[in-house]
Amino acid sequence: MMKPNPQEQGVRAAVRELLSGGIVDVFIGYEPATLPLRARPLFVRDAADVDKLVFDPLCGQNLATYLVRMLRESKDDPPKIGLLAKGCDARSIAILLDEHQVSRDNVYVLGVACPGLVDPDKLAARFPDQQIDGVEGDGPTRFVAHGEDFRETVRRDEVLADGCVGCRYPTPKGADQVVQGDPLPAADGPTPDPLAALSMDERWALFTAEMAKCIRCNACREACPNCYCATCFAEQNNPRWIGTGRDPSDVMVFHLGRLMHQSGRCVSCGSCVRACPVGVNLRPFTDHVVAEVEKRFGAEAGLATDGSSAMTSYSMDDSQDFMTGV
Amino acid sequence: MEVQATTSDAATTPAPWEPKIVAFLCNWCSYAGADLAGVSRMQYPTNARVVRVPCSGRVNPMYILKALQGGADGVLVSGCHPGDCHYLAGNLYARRKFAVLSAMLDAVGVDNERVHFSWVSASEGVRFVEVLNTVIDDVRRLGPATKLVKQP
Repeated sequence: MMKPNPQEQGVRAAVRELLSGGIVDVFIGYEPATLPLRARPLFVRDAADVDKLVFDPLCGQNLATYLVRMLRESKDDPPKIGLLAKGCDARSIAILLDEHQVSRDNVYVLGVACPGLVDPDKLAARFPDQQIDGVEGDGPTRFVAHGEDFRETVRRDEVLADGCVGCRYPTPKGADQVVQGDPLPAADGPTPDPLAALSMDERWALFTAEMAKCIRCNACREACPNCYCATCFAEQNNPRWIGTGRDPSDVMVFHLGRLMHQSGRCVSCGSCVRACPVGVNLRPFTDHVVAEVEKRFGAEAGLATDGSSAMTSYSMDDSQDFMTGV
Repeated sequence: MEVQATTSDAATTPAPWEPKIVAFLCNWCSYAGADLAGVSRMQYPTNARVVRVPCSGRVNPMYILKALQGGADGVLVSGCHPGDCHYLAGNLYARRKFAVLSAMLDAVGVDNERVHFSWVSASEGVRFVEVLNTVIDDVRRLGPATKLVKQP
């Protein structure tokens, strides 16, 4: 058993108090997964399990996903749920609050100042001959990776997950409590659009290639806190929007439909990409739409809970540059 | 004999391609605008298949994707001018949706000249004809749709 890092210790201490004080019935955090360099969700109901909790730059999955599902299952007697939230996860929670899916009274947000997530593949490629047991933040510009008889620092930008590059909100907003650490320095402007340099043909080629990998397992949807519909449009049968198989057109229309639903709501947490078993990279397309929403409507997802989100509001002065005959 | 020969000629020569346009027109403005064009005897091409919807805000982006998947070469969505919506703001919500849809199609390399959005009021029969001609010209220039079309 590795020595817990200081932020982990802070998380465990906080959770112990939340459970013993009866402030939460269940706390959702992370524990190490069976695969190296991966973490998985842990549901803690008993103080005895608190020491299983970990938090490091491998704890990627957005835990806000479980909120609607758990509260829906226990309609009459909703538990008070404690949740570990990085900056992006807290924005997801804000969306669920804004969309009236979750009541603030049912959630205790234990924020963590996020060191940025490490891409396990990049890290393994950086130290190909080492067995790495863990990794943690080390000041604003480095991570330190460690194993048995091994401890090396690595520049943060060398192994940072793609989705965390340009993160503007590593430290959560609106949390009940924040456990400090070595957070990723916050970027101060939008990230450049990865598709800007591509021609229409190149974009179509990229889209076609990514879609060809998809096996329609719906892992991206299940991992996404925004995808909480009881019946997804993909499974509706009256009307039947799309076929169920791997027909290339059906795969594309599924992802385009889903992307449309993410507009003004995606917080770029990267859970969909991380959950994909076949490595479909949805990010360039999602990022393009996120950037477009911000450019057009000056709105970012998950920063407000007052019903002012981009797609549920309008302005008389919205640009019509895409329209015919104006 | 001659009649038979003519018939078999027609069967072997494929008809020239004509763009198929699905036009979602709002009940209160654009549908009435198209109707005005008709009763005023204005000539316009027959490429559009009109679907009457209660409001441009009723147009689910899935309708548009579904039309493209089903083999439409182009889509037109038209509603009341801003400020004129029968439901006050349906077209203003729609405008945001269509802006994003347009950007999304652009992101994946589907020519967004296939998908047009416009405002046509009930008194703008002439404008309806102009808009429809613009759509048909754009789609004709692009040729038959292939991207997103579901093959049987």
